[in-house]
Amino acid sequence: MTTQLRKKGIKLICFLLIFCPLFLFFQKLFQAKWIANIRDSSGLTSTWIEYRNLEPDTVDVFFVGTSHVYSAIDPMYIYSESGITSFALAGPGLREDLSYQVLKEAFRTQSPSVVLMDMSSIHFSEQQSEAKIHKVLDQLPITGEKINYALTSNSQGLPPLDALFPFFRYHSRWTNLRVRDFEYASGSLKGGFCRGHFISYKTVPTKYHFNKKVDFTLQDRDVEYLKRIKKLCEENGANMILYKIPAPTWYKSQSKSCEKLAETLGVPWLELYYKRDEIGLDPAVDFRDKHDHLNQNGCEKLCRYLIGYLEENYQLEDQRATNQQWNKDLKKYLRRLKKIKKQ
Amino acid sequence: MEKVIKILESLKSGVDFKTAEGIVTNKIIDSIDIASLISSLEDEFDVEIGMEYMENENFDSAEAIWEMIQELQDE
Amino acid sequence: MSITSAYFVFFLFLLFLLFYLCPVRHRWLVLLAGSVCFYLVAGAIRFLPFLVFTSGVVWICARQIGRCYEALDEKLKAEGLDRTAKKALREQYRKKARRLLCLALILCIGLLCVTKFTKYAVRYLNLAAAALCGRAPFHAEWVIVPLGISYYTFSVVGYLLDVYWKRYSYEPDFLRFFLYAIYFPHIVQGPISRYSLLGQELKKELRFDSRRIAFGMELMLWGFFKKLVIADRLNQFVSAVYNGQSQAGSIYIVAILFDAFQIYTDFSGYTDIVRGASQIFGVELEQNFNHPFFSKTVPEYWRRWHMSLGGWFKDYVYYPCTISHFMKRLNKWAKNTLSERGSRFTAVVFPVFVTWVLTGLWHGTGKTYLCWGIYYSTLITISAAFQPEFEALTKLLRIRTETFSWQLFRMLRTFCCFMGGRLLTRPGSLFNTRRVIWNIFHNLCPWCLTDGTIFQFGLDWPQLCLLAVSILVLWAVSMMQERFSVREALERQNIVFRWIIIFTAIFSILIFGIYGQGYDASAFMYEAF
Repeated sequence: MTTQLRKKGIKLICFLLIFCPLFLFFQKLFQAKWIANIRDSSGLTSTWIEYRNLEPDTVDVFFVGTSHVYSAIDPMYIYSESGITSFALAGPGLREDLSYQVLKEAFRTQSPSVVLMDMSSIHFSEQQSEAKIHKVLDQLPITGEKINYALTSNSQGLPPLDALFPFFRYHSRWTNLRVRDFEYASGSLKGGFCRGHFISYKTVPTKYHFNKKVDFTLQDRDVEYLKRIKKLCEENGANMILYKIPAPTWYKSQSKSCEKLAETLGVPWLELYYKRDEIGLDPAVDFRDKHDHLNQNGCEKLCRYLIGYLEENYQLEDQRATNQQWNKDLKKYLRRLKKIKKQ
Repeated sequence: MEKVIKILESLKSGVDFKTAEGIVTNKIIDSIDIASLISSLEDEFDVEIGMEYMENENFDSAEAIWEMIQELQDE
Repeated sequence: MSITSAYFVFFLFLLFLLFYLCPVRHRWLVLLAGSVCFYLVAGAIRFLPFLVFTSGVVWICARQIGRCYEALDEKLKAEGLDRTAKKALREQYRKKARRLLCLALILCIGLLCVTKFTKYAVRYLNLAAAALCGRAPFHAEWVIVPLGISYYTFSVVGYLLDVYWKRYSYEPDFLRFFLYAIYFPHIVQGPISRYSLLGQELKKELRFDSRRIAFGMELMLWGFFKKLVIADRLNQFVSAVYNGQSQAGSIYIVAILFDAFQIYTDFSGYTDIVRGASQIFGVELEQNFNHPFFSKTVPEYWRRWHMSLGGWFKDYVYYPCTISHFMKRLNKWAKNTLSERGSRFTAVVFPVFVTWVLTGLWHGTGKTYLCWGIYYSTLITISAAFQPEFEALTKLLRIRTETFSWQLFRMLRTFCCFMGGRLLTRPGSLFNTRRVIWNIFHNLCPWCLTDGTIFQFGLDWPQLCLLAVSILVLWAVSMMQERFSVREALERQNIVFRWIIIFTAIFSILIFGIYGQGYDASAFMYEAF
C-alpha cells in the first residue's frame, strides 16, 4: 500500500516538475510586453531586463514614482553630467503599494544610498487601469508581498489569479504573437539603455495653479506604505527623500500634507515648486502635455538642479572613469536622443 | 402464454419472441410499441396494468410478461 | 461560482482534501456540507429555503406513503380476509397514498410552475393594471428562480413517484435524502438522477482509488475542452449573429450549424465536467449524452440527447399517460371505431403530444418552446405512424439499407431535424425565426462566406481554424468512444504518450479556452502616454 502511494507521489511530483516550467514558459510567451524603442524609450519590460543586467551594487540613487518621474528624471543625463548612477523605477500611475514591491525587488541587486520618492501618486484616488498595473506587476516575481497584493487586487479591477499569473489574463494573445514574445520567453530579449527614462521633445504650453484652493487628505493606504518604504530603506542603508516635481496640477494643500508626512517620517521634503525659478522651469516650454509631464528640456533643467542637491548633501561617487557598462550604454543613449530630437 | 407471443408478434415481425430476452432493455420494441402492447394485453386478459408493474424486468421476455399477467389475475 | 471558473477548481481541490482526510463512514457528510456551500455560493442564500421546502415535502410525503403501504401489508397478512375484503383494503390505503402524492405534487410542481411563470404573470398583470389604472404595481424583483429548480424538482419527484409505485422503499434518513437532492455536481444542470441509482451510489463506501480519480480528472479535462475551447468560442459567433440585425442567409446557415455544435458541446461538456468531478469522489452519475449526432432517427436521437430528461419524461409522464384511464377509454373506442392502424395511431399520438409539449415547457416558457414541443411530437408521431409507408418507399426507390451511404443519409436527416428544432428556439422569438428563414430563402448571398463578412462576428481566421481542428478532434474522439472506452485505452499506452496527450489537453484548454477578459492590443500598448 505504501509503495503504491509512494509511486503515485513520485508521479505527481514529476507531473508538477513538467507542468510548472511549461506553464511559466507559456506565461512569459503570452504576457503583454512593453518594449523600449524610439517611440517608448522606457518600455517597462525592456527596462526591467536592463535593470537586472546591471552590475550589482553600482547604482547609487533610485528615483521612484509615476510617469512624472520617468518623464522628468533622465539618469543617463545625470550620469553624463556628474557620474552619479541612478535609475528611474517608475510606472504609469504607480501607487505606493506597488512602489513598495518595486523597491523590495530592486534592493535585491543594488544598494543605493539615496531613494527619492516622488509624491505625484497621491493624486490618484481612483483605481488605475489594469493595463497600468500589469505594466509594473508583471515584471516582479511572486513574493509574499505580491500574494498579499493579489488578495486585495479585486478592488483594483484585477482578479487575484490574473495578478499573480498574467498567463490567465493574456492567454488569448495566441492569435497575435510576435518575434519579441518568443525572444522574451527564451530569455534573449535585449534590455534598454535609457535607465527607465522616457524621452520626448514635444512642447505643450501650460500654467501652474499651485495656489488654487483644493481640499485634500492623504489616503491611509499611501501613508502606511510610505512608512513601510521608509523602513525598507533603513534596512538597506538608503536615505529616503520625499519630493515633488513642479507641475500644473499640484496644489498647496497637497504640498502641506506631504510636508507634514515627511516630518512624521523624519525625512527631508523637497517642494521643488518653490525652487522652480532656480531650476529655470518655464511651463510654456518645458512640458510635453497637459498631464504634468516634463519634456526633455525641462527634464535636463530639473536634473541639473538635482545633481547639485545630491552632490551637496550626499557622498556619491563619480563613476564616469570606471563604469564600462554605463559608458557603453551612454553612447547608445546619446544616439537615440539624437534620433528622437530629429523627429 | 401463446396469446402473449401472438400479441408481441403482431407488434414486430421477424423476431422469435419464444426465446427473445431483453425485449425492452435491448430495444427490440420501443416505448411507442409498448403503449400498444399494454393496451392489447389489458384487453386480451382483462387486467389492469398499473404503474407498479411498469418495469423493464416485467416486459423483457414472453415468460416475464406471462408471469406478470398471472400475478395481476390473482389479485 | 461557475463550473468553469477557477473558484470551482479550487473548491473541488479543497473538498477533495477534506473528503479523503475524513474517515470513510462520514465522507458522505463532507459531500453534504460541500454541496450546501456550493449551492449558497453558486446560487444565493434566498434560494436555499425553496430547495429545503421541496425536498422536505417530498421526503415527508414519501415516508408517509411508505408507512401507509407497510400498514397495508401488515393488515393483509391478517387471517380470514377474502378477496373482496383485501381489494377494499387495498383501495382504501391506495386512496390515502394517492392523496399524499397529490399534495406533494401540487406543492412541488406548483412551486416549479410559479417560479417559471411568475415572470409572465408579472408582465401581463402589469399590462392589465396599466390599461385599467395607469400603473404597473407588480415588480420583477418578486420573480425568484432558485438555482437548479427544474432539475432538483424532477429528481425528487421521481423518487416520490417511485415510492408511490412501490419500486423501492422510502429513505428514512432525511439528511441522506437531502444529499441526493442538493448533491453539487447535478444540482445546477443535471443529469436528472434516479434515487435507485444516485441514492445508492451515495450510500456506497466511498474509498480512495487513484485509477478512478485519474479517470474522473480525464473526463473533466475532456468536458473543459468541449465547453471552453469549442462551445464558448462558437457561442461568440452565434450570439453575434442572432443579436444583431438581419444577416445574409448563408451567414444564418453557418450560425445554425455552429449553434447545433455549440449546444451539444456546451451541455455535454458541462455534463462531463460534473460527472468527472463526481467520479473523483467515487459517485457515478448517469450519462446524459451518447453521441446524439450519430443518431439515425428522431426517436433514437432522443435516446441519445439529454438522456436523463428523456428517460424521466418517458418513465414519469409518457408511461403513466399511456396507461391512464383516459387513454384506456380512448383506446377502447379507437379499437371499436377505427382500423388497426387508426387505433395504433390513437394509442401513440396523445401521450407523445402531452410528453413533448411538457418537455418543451420544461425547457422554457413561451411560444417558441411550445412550438418546439409540438414540432418534436409531430416528428415522432409521423415516424411511428407512417413506418410501413417509409419502408415501402425505401423498397420502391431500391435503396440498399445496409450501406454506409444510407446510414450517413439517415444521420444527416436526423441532424437536420435537430437543427430545425433549434431554429425554433435559438433566435429568441418566432418573429426572429421567421426572419432567419426568410433570409435563407430570399437573401442567401453565398459569396458572403468568402468576402470577409464571416469575420465580423467575433471570430477571425486563426479562431475559425482552431474551431475546425477542435471539431475534428471532437469527431475523432466521439468515433472512438462509440467503439471503446478511450480512458481505458489511454491507460494501456506508454506513460510518455499518455502524458503528452494529457499535457496537450491541459494546455489547449488553458491557452485556447474562452475565459477571462479578451486582449485588446490598442488598449494595452500605449497606456499613459
